[in-house]
This record gives sequence, structure tokens and C-alpha cells, in this order.
Amino acid sequence: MVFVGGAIGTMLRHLIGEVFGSSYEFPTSDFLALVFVNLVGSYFLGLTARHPIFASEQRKAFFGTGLAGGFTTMSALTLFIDTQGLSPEIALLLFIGPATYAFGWHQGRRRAKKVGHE
Amino acid sequence: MSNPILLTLLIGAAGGIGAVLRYAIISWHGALPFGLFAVNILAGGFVGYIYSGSLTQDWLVIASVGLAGGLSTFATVSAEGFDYYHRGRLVQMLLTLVINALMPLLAMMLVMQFV
Repeated sequence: MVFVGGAIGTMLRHLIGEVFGSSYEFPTSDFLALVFVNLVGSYFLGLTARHPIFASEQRKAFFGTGLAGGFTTMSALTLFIDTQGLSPEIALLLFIGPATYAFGWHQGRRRAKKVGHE
Repeated sequence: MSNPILLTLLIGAAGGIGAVLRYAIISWHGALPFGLFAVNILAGGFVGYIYSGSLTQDWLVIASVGLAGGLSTFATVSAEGFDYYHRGRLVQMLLTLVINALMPLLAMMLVMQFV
């Protein structure tokens, strides 16, 4: 489950990188792609942590560890910092990540309470 | 590699392998998420290694976007950061975010320097 989810997440990340690459010039394209995949992936991992639809271990492994983990990337961010330097925007991204995770986490928990799952 | 679909599938397969490796390592958790540090530092070092080598453009993308991208994770860094914040452990939250940003970079630069 982790392999399949990770493979799908990685392919989606690659395709999103291609879309941003065809729409913007480097380094804006890479920066926007990194922000998009990392924030959307963080939100989705937060959702999988509490939403009742992802309650089973198999679904957490597929959607959380696999898909959200493979969709987001730290190594591309590392490479970006190496080539472009550690900008305030990148530093801010590190702190917005937990905030978007929290947004998904709270949405998932609200849904779980609504259906009496917790 | 002229076929973009094949390239995407190979990137996906490499990402799947990276995700399984991450799954095996990331459970190492003490006062700080050491397994998470390990996967991101390993991925950073690996990117430094492949960028120091002589891979063709396609294999470079498969290894960096696929394997290193699947091995490393930003979402779990966010999850750990939020978890520490939620429990009122702000120092551990800051350490988790800063170490995950800087140590992979250091690993990559060291590997690029010495390989």
C-alpha cells in the first residue's frame, strides 16, 4: 500500500512540476511547485490523520504515508535552497506547513465528531 | 528516454521504493523524530551524490524526483511540527523544523564537496 501510494504521489508531484515548469520561468516555477505540493500534501496528511474515512491502517498507509508522503518532498526543497539560498519565503513555508496540516487535522476531527467516530 | 509516459512510470516506481524505505526508517522516534531526520538527511545526501555524478538527464530526474523525493517528506515534518505545538513543546517544534531544513542541506553540500 505504501509503495503504490508513494508511486502515485511521486508521479503526481512530477506532473505538477511539469505544469508549473511550462507556465512559469525558473526559479519561480520550482518555487510555486514546491509550495503547492508541500502545502496540499501537508493538508491532506492532516486530513488522513483524523477523518473517519481514513481510519483503517491500510488507508492510512496508502493515503497518508504513501500518497501524501510521496507527494511532498524535502529533497527538492533542499536542492532549491542550495541553488537559490534560504529566502524568507522558504523559511515561511516551513512554518505554514504545520498550519496547513492543522487545518486538515481539524477538518478531519470535526467530521469524525459529526459522525460519532470519536 | 524519448517516452514521457515511461519516464513518469519509472519516476513513480522509484518514488514507491523511496516511500517504502521511508516507512521502514521513520518509526525511529525518541525525544525528537530521529527517523524523520534520517530520511531527509539521507535523501539530501543522495541528491548531492547523484548531482556530483555523471547520470543522464532522465536518470537524474528518476533518482532525484523519484527515489529522493519519495524517500524525503515535507508532510511528516509538518505533522511532527504541529504535534509538538499541540502538546505545547515549542522548542521541539522549532528544532524539528530547523533540523529538517538545514541538516539535509548540510549533508548534500558535504557529499558534493567530498565525492
